[in-house]
Amino acid sequence: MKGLLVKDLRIAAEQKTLLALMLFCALICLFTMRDPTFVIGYMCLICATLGSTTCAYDEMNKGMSFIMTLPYSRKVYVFEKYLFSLMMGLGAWVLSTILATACMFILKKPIGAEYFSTVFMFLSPIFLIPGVMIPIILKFGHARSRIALFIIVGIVLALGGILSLVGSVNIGMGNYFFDAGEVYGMIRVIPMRDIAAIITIITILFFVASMMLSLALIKKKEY
Amino acid sequence: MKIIINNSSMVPIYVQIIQQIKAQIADCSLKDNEALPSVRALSKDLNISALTVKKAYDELEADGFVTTVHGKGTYVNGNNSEFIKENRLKEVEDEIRTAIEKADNYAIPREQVREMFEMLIED
Amino acid sequence: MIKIDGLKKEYSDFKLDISVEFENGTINGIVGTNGAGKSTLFKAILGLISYKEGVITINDKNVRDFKYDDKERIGCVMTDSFFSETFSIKDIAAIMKATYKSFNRDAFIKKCEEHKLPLNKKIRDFSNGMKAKAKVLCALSIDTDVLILDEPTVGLDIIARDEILSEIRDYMEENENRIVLISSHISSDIEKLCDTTYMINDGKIVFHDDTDRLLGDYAALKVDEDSFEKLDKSHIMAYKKEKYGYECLTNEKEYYSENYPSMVIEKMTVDEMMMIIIKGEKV
Repeated sequence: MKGLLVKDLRIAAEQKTLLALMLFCALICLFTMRDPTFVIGYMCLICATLGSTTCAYDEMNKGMSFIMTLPYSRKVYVFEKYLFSLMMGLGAWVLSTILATACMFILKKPIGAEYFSTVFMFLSPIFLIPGVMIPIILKFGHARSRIALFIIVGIVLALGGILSLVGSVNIGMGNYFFDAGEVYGMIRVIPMRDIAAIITIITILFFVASMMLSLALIKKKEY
Repeated sequence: MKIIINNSSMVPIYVQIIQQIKAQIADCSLKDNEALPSVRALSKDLNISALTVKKAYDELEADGFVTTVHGKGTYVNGNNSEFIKENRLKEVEDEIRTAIEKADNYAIPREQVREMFEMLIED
Repeated sequence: MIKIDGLKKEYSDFKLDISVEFENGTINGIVGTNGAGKSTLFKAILGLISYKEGVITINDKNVRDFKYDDKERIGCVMTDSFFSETFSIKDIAAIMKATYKSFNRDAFIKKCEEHKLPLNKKIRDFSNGMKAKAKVLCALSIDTDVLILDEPTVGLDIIARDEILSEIRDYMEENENRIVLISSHISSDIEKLCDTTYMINDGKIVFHDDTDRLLGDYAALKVDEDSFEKLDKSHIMAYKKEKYGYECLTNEKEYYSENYPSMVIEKMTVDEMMMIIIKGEKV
């Protein structure tokens, strides 16, 4: 898998302008916004797409045909994509958490269960985004995958909105007002921490299921 | 070893190679026991397929001019000059015989053929 | 040896049906019109497409059972597919090094420099000729038993083509057991390089012979209508109606030059032979 990782790391390195800009904005946000946790969400969202970006690069210009002639089996190819996505996503998550925590510390904000729940909440896009994007690119190619990306972002924002109703946590994207109903009243009772755990577990399972799907998709594909 | 191939000649390429190697053996520019270039090397120099060179070498070996040692290469046989002379005589003889046969086929009388021959040989 | 036994693949517009063996130590040329099945054949060998019928083995191992170590021993150049164009030669070298144990980075870089390929520029900024060279040098930079080249010289000028053919010859010289399969539309490439030439049309191998026989014993006979009627057709493979009469393909040039001394007999390129076989009639 090493060769594939080297290839994908180089593709990620290609995005250096984007990543540098991201870091720059993140740092600015850290010190101008009142809620440092925004940075975690921001960096995680962007880095969660790196894995599927490499899929898109591979697929461009009919490149997949050549890649499939490399000695790696199709299974290894898929597995590496998910592994790489995890590496990038978790890396971003750890880094951004460190930055945000440092900032919280400096700003003398409370670092407690609520804070950590929010932090853990941002693990979900790391599993969700590659989970959705990778099979789509494998099946449909990178062109149609863009539409899928917009849909995902929409879902994440919506989720954010729902969560902000449930707890008192401002996840930095503003408060959304929904015509909630009693269902939300029930969810309101469950502590934030547990919701974060549930969502994280669901997205991890989704991630694994996605990998199974991708493995099945690539088996049939003709290049 | 210099070989020049004429691509537009009607003579097949491997025959041209054979002829030129034989000529070089005859005039001693290729010495007894000297190594010929490898099949691949010669095919590269001449820009032709290796199989063509191999055919030429195989035929030269069958005719007794060279010997191929598996894994080492192809070498000119010793004592070739006499052999070549004899071979060449035979070649010319065969050509003359063919001309005579053809004349017979076309019902050209032998006397006329002899006259033709005398005339040509005067040139 | 590459053995293709009863390979059958169906597409909506044509069917591939091929059985052929390629011996060790040979450079094999595959010619045919676009869409005839050349690339499909290569893709089947490389495991890129599926096929319901047929067995493909390389040195007696079924390609379907190939593991990493086996696949490492196959090099290939595809017409329209390579590493991502955002990579530079150096990026490619790094990826190759991490992928193939036999990859020699210094030799690869040196060859690229010899062929004047910039090491740090992105492949997308290369000219067509440079891209083609990069693909071939990359495939040649690893120790392989089989090299499959799908139109490696397309779009190249004569000098670049010559250089690439030379590299392929060197590759064969290093190891006499290697096999090269090369497809090309450029007759002269095939004629200069290949030991055997196969012609594929409509998914089938319609004919094949040693290249030197193709160049030496095959010829075109140009005859008018009357002469065609009387012509001894025992060594005619195919013929095509022309304005002056008929153009016939023979594989026994000597026979006709001896028996019909006044006949117009011309050498043919592989392309021209292909035209007669595909567009003409069989005897």
